[in-house]
Amino acid sequence: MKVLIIIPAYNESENIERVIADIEQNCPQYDYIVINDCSTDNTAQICEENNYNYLDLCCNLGIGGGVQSGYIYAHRNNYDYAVQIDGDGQHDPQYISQMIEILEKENADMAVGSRFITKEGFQSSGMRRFGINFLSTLIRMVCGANVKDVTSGFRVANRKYIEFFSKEYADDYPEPEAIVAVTLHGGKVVEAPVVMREREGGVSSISPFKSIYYMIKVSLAILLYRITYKGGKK
Amino acid sequence: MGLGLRISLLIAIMIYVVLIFVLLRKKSFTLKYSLLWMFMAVVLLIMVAFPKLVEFLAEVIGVASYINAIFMAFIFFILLLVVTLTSIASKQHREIKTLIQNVALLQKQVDELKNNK
Repeated sequence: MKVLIIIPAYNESENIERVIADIEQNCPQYDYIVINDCSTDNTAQICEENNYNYLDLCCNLGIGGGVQSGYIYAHRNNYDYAVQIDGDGQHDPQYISQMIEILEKENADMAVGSRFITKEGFQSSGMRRFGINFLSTLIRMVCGANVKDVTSGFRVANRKYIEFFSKEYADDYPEPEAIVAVTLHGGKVVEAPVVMREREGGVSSISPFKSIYYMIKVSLAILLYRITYKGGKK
Repeated sequence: MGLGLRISLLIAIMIYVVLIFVLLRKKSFTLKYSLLWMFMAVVLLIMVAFPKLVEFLAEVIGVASYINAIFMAFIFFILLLVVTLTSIASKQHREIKTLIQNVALLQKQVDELKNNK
């Protein structure tokens, strides 16, 4: 079983070494690839010096385009599963094997790592949880997928959806939309319990100021995806 | 429609058409994208050539003055052009994204080949 861990990194020089060390220590059986999305700090230099397996994007594509290059890499190199984890150390790679197990057991196409199942670890602020609940309800209404932690960037996709994402993946704030895309295309999305940590260094890509924009953009994207989706056509 | 207005509109359209041709000749304009601009010039020319038509149309659509009908036509065309430009920009965005991703993947392969030597 070939598994690739995709780590999008934009200005993650404070975290990237810890994230990779964590992976090398806890899941040495998996391959990984760091996607340096044209960081303005020395993320690329760190990758080069430590001889990490990494991709260097020459222009900033944002999280969607960055992660998508990881899926293209996974597709071209014939991986069975691609795991997405954040470059800031929020996601514990120890959970990856459990996520893959659940995905296989449930015969699903994508597993989302959810912090709201066991309700342990970092739970995010009240306002954010309210927003996440709203999006979760919206997604359930639009496509029937029952996912609580819809914004979680910790997820596993199987071979079929590696190929799908390598062709089609939303540009910014792609996580909730990807759940809708997979479900509408006949895929099955399940949730796997994980414990998340609070980010240790650097800044989150979503500042409180952007939260409103985030909610409007993502809600619209989900609705538009549903409205413009051509059923049956691949 | 007054003669003065017709002549000034005609001059404006002429300048506009010449500009398009100059840009086309300098190849700074793709023919495909210039078609909408040309079509716009033709419609405006018809409006100047047949003022009675404009006055008739203004009355039909309930516009008090024919000059407002001309403005409406202009605004409509500009909207159309902006939508077209957005669609072109989106398409280019997609293409550039694919290019950047492929350059990164190729770069990686080149580096790997270099290191194997």
